[in-house]
Amino acid sequence: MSLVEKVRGVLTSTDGRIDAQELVQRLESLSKFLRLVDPYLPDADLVAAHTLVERAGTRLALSRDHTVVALAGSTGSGKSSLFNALARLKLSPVGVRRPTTGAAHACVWGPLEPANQLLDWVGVLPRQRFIRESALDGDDEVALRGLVLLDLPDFDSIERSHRLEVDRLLGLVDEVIWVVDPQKYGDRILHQAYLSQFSTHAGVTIVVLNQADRLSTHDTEVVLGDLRRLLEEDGLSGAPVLATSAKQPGMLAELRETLEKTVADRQAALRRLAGDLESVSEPLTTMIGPPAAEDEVDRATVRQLTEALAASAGVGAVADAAAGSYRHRAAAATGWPVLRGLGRLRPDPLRRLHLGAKPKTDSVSTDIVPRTSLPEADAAQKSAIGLSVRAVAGRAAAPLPPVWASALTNASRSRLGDLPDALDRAIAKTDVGADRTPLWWRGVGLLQWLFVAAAVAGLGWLIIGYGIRMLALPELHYPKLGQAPLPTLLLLGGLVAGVLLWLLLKPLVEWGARRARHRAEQQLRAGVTDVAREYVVAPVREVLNAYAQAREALTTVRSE
Amino acid sequence: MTTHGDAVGPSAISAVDSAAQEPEGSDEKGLTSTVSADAGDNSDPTEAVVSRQSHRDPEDEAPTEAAEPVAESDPETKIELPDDVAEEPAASENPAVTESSSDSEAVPEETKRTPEEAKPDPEPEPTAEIEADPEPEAVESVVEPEAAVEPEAAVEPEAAVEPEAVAEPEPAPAPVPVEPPPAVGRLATALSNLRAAIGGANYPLIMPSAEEARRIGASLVAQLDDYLLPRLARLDAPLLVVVGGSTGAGKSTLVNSLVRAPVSTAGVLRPTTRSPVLVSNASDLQWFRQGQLLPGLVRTPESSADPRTLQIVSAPVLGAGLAFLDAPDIDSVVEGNRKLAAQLLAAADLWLFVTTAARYADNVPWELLTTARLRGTVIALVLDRVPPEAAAEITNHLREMLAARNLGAAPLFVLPETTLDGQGLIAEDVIGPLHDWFKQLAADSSARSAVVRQTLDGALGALVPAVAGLADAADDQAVAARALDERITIAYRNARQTVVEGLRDGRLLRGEVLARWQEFVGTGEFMKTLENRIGQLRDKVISAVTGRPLPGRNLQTALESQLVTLLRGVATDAAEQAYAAWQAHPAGAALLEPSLQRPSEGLPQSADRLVRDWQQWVLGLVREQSSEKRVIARGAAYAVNGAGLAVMIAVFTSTAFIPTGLEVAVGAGTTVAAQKVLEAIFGDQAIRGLANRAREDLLFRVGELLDAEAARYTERTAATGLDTAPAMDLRRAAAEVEDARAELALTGSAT
Repeated sequence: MSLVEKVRGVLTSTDGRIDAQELVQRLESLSKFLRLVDPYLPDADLVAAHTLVERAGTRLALSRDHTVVALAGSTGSGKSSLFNALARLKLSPVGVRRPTTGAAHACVWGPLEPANQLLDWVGVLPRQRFIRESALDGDDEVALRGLVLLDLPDFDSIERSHRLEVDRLLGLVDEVIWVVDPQKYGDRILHQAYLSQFSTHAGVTIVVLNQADRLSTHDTEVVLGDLRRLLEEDGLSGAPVLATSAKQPGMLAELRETLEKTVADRQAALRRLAGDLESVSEPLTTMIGPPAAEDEVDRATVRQLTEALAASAGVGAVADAAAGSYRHRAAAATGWPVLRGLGRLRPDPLRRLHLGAKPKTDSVSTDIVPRTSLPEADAAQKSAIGLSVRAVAGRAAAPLPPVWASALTNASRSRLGDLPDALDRAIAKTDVGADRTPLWWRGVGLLQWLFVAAAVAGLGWLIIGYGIRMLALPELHYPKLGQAPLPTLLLLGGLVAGVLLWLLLKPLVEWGARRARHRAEQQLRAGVTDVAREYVVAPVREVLNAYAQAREALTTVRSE
Repeated sequence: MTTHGDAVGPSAISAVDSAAQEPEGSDEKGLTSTVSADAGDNSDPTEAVVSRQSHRDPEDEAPTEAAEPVAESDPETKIELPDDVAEEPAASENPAVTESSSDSEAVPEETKRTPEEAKPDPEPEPTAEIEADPEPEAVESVVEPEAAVEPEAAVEPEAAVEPEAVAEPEPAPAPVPVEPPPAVGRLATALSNLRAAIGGANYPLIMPSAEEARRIGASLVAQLDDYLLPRLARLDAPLLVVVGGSTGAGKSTLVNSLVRAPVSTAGVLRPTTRSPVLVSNASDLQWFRQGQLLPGLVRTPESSADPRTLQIVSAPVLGAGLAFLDAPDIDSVVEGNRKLAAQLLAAADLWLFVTTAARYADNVPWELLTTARLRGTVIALVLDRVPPEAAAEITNHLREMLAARNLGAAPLFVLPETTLDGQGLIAEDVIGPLHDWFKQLAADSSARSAVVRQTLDGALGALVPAVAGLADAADDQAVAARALDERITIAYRNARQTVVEGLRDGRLLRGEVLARWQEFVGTGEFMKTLENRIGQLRDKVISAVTGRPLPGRNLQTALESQLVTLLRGVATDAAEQAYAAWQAHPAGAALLEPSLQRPSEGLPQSADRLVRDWQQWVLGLVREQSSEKRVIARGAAYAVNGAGLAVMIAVFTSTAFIPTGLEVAVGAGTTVAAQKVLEAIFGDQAIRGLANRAREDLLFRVGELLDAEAARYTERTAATGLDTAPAMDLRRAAAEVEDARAELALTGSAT
C-alpha cells in the first residue's frame, strides 16, 4: 500500500515537481541580485531576501531526504494531541492548562542521525527529540520514514515567547500543518498574521480542522466549507483541508496518507524554498522596472554637463588666451621687425594663465602637472554644475523605479569634490598650441628681415652715395630701375613692403588666431568631456550597469 | 449533567455590601464572593477562591458561610449570590462603604430580603421569578432606606429618583424625570466640553503617538456619546450587561440561556454574531429604543445582518432594570466585529466576559480585560465549555491568571461543556448560578446602582489619563510641526546665505562677465557711449554689420543668466536639503511628495522675472540719481542704460574690490576704470550708496523668492492647523471633568 502510494505520489506530482538544480540556480541568481544591488538600495527592503539566501543554502546542504513538517495552530487546538496521535506514542505533553506546549517537540521517523543536524539547525532541544523507529512496529511506519514532525507552541496565548518561537520555526520548516478547531478556525490572528502570509506556500500547506469529533457530520461539512472560504480569502485555495480528530484514529487516515505522500516525494523542502523564493522575490520586482540601456545618459545631457564644466573651468578664457597668444606670437614672428620689440613688452596671454609653457619633462617628475592660474569657479558656475550633475542623475533615473533615484544621485556626486582639480589638470594638460609655430611665419619672418635688409642696404647705399658726394668724390651712379634709383627703391620698397606685408598679413593672423581659438576650445572641451565622463557619468553608468545585471538576475529568479 | 458552581470572587459590584463581611477578601472594594462547587470537585475550589459568601439561597434564607455549600456537595447548589448591598452589615475597610452601609444595615436587611423570599424556589419558572422581582413595593422599600441614609447630599436626589425609574415597569418613563443635582449638571457640561476638546484636537502629522491618539480620541468620543453622557443623564437607567468575548466562546448561547429564549442566533460558523442584540424587560425597552445610549446604532425590531444596527428584543424572563447585550466577537477575521465589540464594551455598565477552556489563555481578550480593568468597568467572567474532568485545573489556572493581573476580584462562573436542549439553550441547572446571580442583581436596585456608579466613575476616572495622553500627543504634534518648519527655515536660510556670499565676493563678475566688461571698457565704446549718441549709433551699425549684439546688452544678458543660474542652483540645493531633512522625520516623510524634491516648476521663470524686475528697479534708481547728478555728468550725452549696467556691476565689485592675482592681470584695470568713470559721474559716495541699495534690493527680492519656495513645505505643516491650543483645551477640560467627578463622588468617596 505504501509502495503503491509512493509510486502514485511520484506519478501524480511529476508535473508539479521542482527541479533541485533549477532551484539552486534561481537561488544563486537571487544571491547575485543581492550582491549587485546591495550597495545601492536600502537594506531594509533586502533583509528578507538575504535571510532566504542564507537559509536556503543551509537547508539544501542538510539532509534532503528528510521532510520537516510542523504542526502549528492556536492554543488549545490540539496540536500536541495530533502529534501524539500521528506518532502513536505519547511524546508531547497534552493538557488542559493553556498554553500547554512551550517548546517545540520533534519526532523523527527513521534513524536519528542525519535528521539530527537538521534538528540542530531548526533548533529543537535534544531532549525534545524522539525517534519513531522500533522493531515492534514492523513495517507500519515505513511509509513515513524520513518524516520529521514538529509540535510547535501556540502563537496566540498570553505567552509572547511562544509566538516568537513559532515565528522562528515557521521560517525553517519544510511543510506546515495548520491545526484549527471549530472554536478558533475564524480567529483573526490565525488568518491575518499567519495563513495569509503563507499564500505562496499552498503547496506545502495542509489545514486540518481538528476536534472534528465535537461536531456533527453535517456541521463538520458546513464548517469545512466556511474554512475553505476563509482560506480562499487568505490566498490558500490550493491547500488541502481535512477534518481530523486525535480521539478517533479513523479520522487521521487521510492526514497520514497525505503525509506519506509528502515524505515519499522528497519535494516539500524544495517546494517550501520555491514558495519562499516566490514571496521574497515578489516585492523585489518593484525595484526593477523596464530595461535601462547603459548609455541612458544621453548626449544632450552630457553636453549640458560639459558646457557647465567648461564654463567653470574657464575654457572660454583659455581659448581666448590661446587666440591672444597666437596673435602675440604671430606678431613676434611676422611683425615688422622694427616695431617687433614693442610687442615683447606685453606678456603672452597663455603664460599669464600659467599655460603653454611646457615644463621640461624630466624622468623623475613626468606626471606632475602644474596648477594653472585660472580663477576658481564662482557661485553661479558652481550652481550650474550642480544643476547639470543633477540633470544627469535625473535623466538616468527617469526610466528606473524611484528607489534607484537616490543611488543614482549619490553616484553622480560621488566624485564631485575631485572635479575642480581634475578640470584644472585637464586644462593644464591640453595642448592649446602655445608652441606651435606655423611654417609661413618663418617664411614671412625671413621676408620681413629681407625687406629690412633691403631697406638697410638701400639706406646704406644712399648714405655711402651721400658721403661720397659730400666728400666730392666722383659721384656714384646708382643703377636705375626705370626712372628710380635702386637704393631709394630698396630703402622705400623695403620699408613699404615690410609695413604692407605686416598689414596684409593681419587678416591672415586674425584668421589663424580664430582657428587657434577654435582648435584650443575643441581640445579643451574634449578634455573637459573626458573629465565629465570619468567623474560624473562613469559612476552613474556603474549603477545603471548594476541595475541591468540585477534585472537579468531577477528574471532568472522569477523564471519558473 | 453536573454543573460547577461558580466561584464568585469578591466583585466590584458587591463592593458596598460585602466589604463589611469579608475581612479576608483581598479586594479593596470589599466584596463578597461566592463559590459554588460542583459535587465532583468541590474539594479544592475553595482554596483558590477566597470565597465567603452570603449564601442567599432561598431555601435557607439565612446567609451562610461559603464553606457551607461546598461542603454540602449538593449537586443542585450552585449559587451564590452576591450580595445585597444594603443588608450586609459590615465593618468595611472602605470608608465610603462604611458611610453608606453602616447606618442602613439594620433596616435594609429585612426589607431587602423581601423580594428574595418572594421567590418560590431555586429554579423558579421564569415567569414566576419575574413577577416576583419587579414588585415596586419591594424595590422601593429597599431603596428608600438607602436614600435616607445617604450621607452625600449630592447623590441624594438621584437615589430618590431611582425607584421610580427602575421600579415602574409599565409606562415609559420620561427620560429625565427629575432635575439632576447640580454636580451632575456640572459634570455633564464638563464632559461636553471635553468631548468638544477631543473632537477639536486632530493629529494630522504621522507620528508614533498620533495613530494611537486618533484611535483613543475616537474611542473616547464614542464612549462619551455612547455611554458616559447618556448614562450620566439617567443614572437610574437600566443596567446594561454587555456579553463579550472571543468568537466561538458561546456568547449567544449564553444570552439565550439566560433569558430562556433564542433571541440571538448561535451557530458553528465563526464568527456567528455580527450585529449586536439587546435583550431587556419589556418595561425597559423604551429607554433603549430612545437611542440615547449607543446613538450610532440603528434600532431594529428584528434580526439584521448589518453591523450598524442594534436589534432590541424583550424577554419576559428578564427582570426589569437589567438588559443583556450580545456583542460580536473580539478576535475573529471580521475586522468590523472587533471595533464594534470594543465600542459596545465601552458602553457597558457591566462586562460579562465569556471565554472557554480552549481560549482562556488567548492574548487578545486579556488585552481587552486589562483595558477594562484600567477603565474601572465592572467585570464578571464566564468560563464556558469546560470539559468536566478538567474543570478544577482550568479554573485554578484562570484564577491565578486573574489574580496576577489584578482581576482577582471579578466574579467567575464556570460552565461545563454540555449538550444544548432542543431550543439550543443550556440546561437551567447548569446555568443556574449565573442566572441567579443576575436575578439578584436585577432585584437589587442599590446593587445595580453601585455597579452603574462604579463603572461610570471608573470610566470617568480613566478619562483623565487618557486625555492626558491625547494632550501629550497634541503637544508632540505641535513640537513636530515646529521642528519641521525649523528644518525648512534652515535649508532656505542656507540658500539665502549662499546668494549673499555669491554677491558679496563679487565672483559673479569673473569669467565671462568680466571678459565682456573688459571688452566693453577696453574698446573705448563705453567712453563713446558716454560721450555722444554717435557712439551708440556706431555701435548699432557695427552690431548690424557684424551680427554681434551690442556689448552693453551682451553684458546684461550674461549677468542675468548668471544670477538666474545662481538662484536656480541654490533653490535646488535648498529643496533637496529640505526634502532630506523631512524624510528623516517620520511626520515629515508622510507630508512629502516627489515633486518637493525639486524646486517649484516655475522657478526658472520667476528667477528670470526677479532679475529683470530688479534691473528695472536699478535703472529707475540710476535715472533718478542721474537727474540729480547731471551737473557732474556735465551734459555728457549719457546713456542711462550704460550707467545702470555699470551700477549693477559695481554692486558686485565695490564691496570686494581687492585686486589680486589674475584680477590684476585680466580685469583690475578695467574695473578701476569703470569705477573711475562712474565716480566721475556720480561721485564716489553716491556710487557706494547706489550699489548698496541695489544689492539690498536684490537680496530682498531673492529672499521673497526663497520664501515662496519654502512656503511649499511650510504650507503643508500650516495646513494641519496646529497650535498649542488643543493640548491646553484638552488638559483644561480633563481637569474640569476630574473636579466635577470629585465633587459628585459617585462611589461615595471623595477620592
